[in-house]
Amino acid sequence: MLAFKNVTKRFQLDEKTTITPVLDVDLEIKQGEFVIIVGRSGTGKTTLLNLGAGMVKPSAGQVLIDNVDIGSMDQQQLSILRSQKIGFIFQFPSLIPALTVKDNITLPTIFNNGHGVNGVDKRAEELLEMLGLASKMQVFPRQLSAGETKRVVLARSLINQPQLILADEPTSDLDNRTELEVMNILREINARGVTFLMVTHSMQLIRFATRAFEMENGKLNDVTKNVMVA
Amino acid sequence: MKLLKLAFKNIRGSGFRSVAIFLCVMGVAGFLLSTMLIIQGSQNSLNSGIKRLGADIVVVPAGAQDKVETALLMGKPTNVWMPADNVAKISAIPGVETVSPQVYLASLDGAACCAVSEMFMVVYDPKTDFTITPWLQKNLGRGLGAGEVIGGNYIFVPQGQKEIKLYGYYTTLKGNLESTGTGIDQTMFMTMDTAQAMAKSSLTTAVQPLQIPANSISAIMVKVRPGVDAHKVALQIVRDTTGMFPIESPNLFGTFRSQMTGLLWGFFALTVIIWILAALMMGVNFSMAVNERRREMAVLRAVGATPGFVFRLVLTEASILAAAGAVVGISAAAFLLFMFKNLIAASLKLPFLFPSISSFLILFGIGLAVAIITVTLAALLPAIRVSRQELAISMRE
Repeated sequence: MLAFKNVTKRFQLDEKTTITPVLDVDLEIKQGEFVIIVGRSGTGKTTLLNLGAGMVKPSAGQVLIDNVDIGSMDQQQLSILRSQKIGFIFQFPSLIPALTVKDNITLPTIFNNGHGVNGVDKRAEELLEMLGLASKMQVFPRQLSAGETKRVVLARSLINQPQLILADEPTSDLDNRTELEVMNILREINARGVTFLMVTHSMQLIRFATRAFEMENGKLNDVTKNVMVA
Repeated sequence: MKLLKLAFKNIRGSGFRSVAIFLCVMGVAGFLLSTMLIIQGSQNSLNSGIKRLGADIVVVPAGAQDKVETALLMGKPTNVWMPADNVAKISAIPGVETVSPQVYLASLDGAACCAVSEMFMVVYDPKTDFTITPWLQKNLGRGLGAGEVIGGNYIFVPQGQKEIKLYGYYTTLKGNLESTGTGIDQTMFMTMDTAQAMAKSSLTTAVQPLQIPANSISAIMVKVRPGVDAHKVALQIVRDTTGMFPIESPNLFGTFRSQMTGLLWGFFALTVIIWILAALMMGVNFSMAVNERRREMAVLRAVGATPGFVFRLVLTEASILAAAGAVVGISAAAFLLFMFKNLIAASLKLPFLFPSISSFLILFGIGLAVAIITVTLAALLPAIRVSRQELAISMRE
C-alpha cells in the first residue's frame, strides 16, 4: 500500500544550516495495517507523513503508493491521488471555519469528481451518525469541542472512502476518555480494511497498532514488541 | 458543493475582510460611474440643446456670443440687440436656406407681477421659425395664439393658478418641450404678438415695464441649404456683414464645452488615480487575506484540491466581491444621480441630461467589467502565490 524506500528529507534553513528530519527510512505498510510511529516533538514524524501524502518531496529515496513512485508525479496528479486514495487527519485545527460540519465533511468530494462516492450527503450523514455527531451537521467548527472537531476531521478524511489514512496526532489536546473514544473509532475503521499510518507523541497509544515504530533523529526503530492488544 | 458555492461560503464566513473589499469596490465603482454619467449627461445635454435650436448657424450681435451661449445653456436671461434688417442681410448670403429672428427677454427679478423670477423668454417669428413651430405642429396641430406660450421642461403653472403671470400679463402655458438639460428647459417661448401685448400691459400692471426696442432682434437662426458647408456660410457672414457674429452649431457652447471637458477629464483622471490606489489597496488586502488563509488553502490542497482549483477559488471570491460591490455602487450612484440630477447640475454649474437606458446600460457594463477586471488583477498575484505554496511549510505556519 505505502512504502518508503530509503527516504531522506533535508531542509536547507539557510546557507550554512541544513536539518534532516527523515533519514534513510525504509518502511513498507501493507493493506489493512495500523502502523503507529511515536516520538518526541521535532523528530520528523510529521515530515514522514507529509512525504507519504506527497506534500513534500524526498531529498533521496522513493515513496510508493500502490507501487507507484509519487515523487515522479506532478502537483495535479498528486492532488488526484490524494483525493482518491488518501485521507489526512491534521494535528492542527483544519476545518474550514466558514463551512458547516456537513460542508467540511463533504469538501473532499468536490475534488474527487464523485469517484466511488455515490450519495455524498447520505454518506456524510452515515459518517456523522457513526461518529456520534448526527446532531452537529449544520453547526460551524467554532461551535464544536476539541473531541468533536477531531471526529469531524476524521469523518472528512473518510468521505472519499480512501484506502489509506495518514493521521498526525489525531488525539492531541484530548482528555483520556475522548482519546480512547477516538482511537476505538480508528480501530473500527481499520477493521473494515482501511490502512492507517498514525504519528503521535503518546507512547501509550502504540497498543492500538499492528506495528509500531519510534522515531528518533529521523530514523525509525521497530518497537512492535511493545505493542499490547487493546 | 462546487467552486462557486465554496467561494460564496468563504466570503460569508470572512465578514470583515469581505465587507472591506465590497465597500472599497462599491465606492470606487460608484464614483467612476458618476463621473462617466456626468460627462455623458453633459454631452447629451449640449447635443440635445443644439438639436432643439435646429439651426446650423446662430447669428448674434458681435461681442454677445458669451451672453447668448450662457442664456441658452444655463437659462440665464440676457438682453442683446441688433438691427432687425440684419435678417435680410443674412438671407442674402449664398447658401442660406432659411432665417428666423428671435428676441430675447427676461421676466422681472423678484417682482410681484411675475410668477417666475428672472426667466429667460424667447420671442420667435411664427412665419419663419423652425425651432418651435415643428414641435407645435406635431403636438398642438397649430401655432401659438396671442397670450399663449410654451415652456421648456421645467416651466410650470404655479400651484393654484391656471395661468402664468408675467409683467402683470397672464399667459396660458400650452405645453412643455422635451428635456434638454440646458437653459432651454427654463425658457419660455412666445410670439411677437404676445410679447408686444405683454409689453403694453406692463406699462400699467408691472413695477417696471417690459421694453422691446423697435426694429431690434437678439439673434438670427440660420439653416443652410442641403449639401452646403455651414462653415463656409459662417465665414461668408463674417466677411460680408458687420456687427454680427455667426456661431456654428457644432461650436455652440464651445467655450463652455472646452472648460467642461477640461474639468470633467480632470475629474475622471482623479477617479482613475483613486481607482489605481484602491486596486493597490485591494491587492494588499488580498495578500493579507491569503496569507491568513495559507493553512486553510494548504488543507484544501491536502484533501485533493489542485493548485488550479485554489487559484480559481481566490479569483472567484475576488470576482464575486467585485461584481457585488460594483453592482451596488453603480446602482446607488445612478439612483442618486437620477434623483438629484438637478441639484448636482446646478451645484456643478453643468447642463445635464440623464443618458438613455441603452447608454446607461453600456456604462453599467463598462463599470462592472472594469471593477471585476481590476479586483481580479489585484487578487492575481496572491492567488498565484497561494496556489503554488509549499504545502508542508504552510501547514506548519
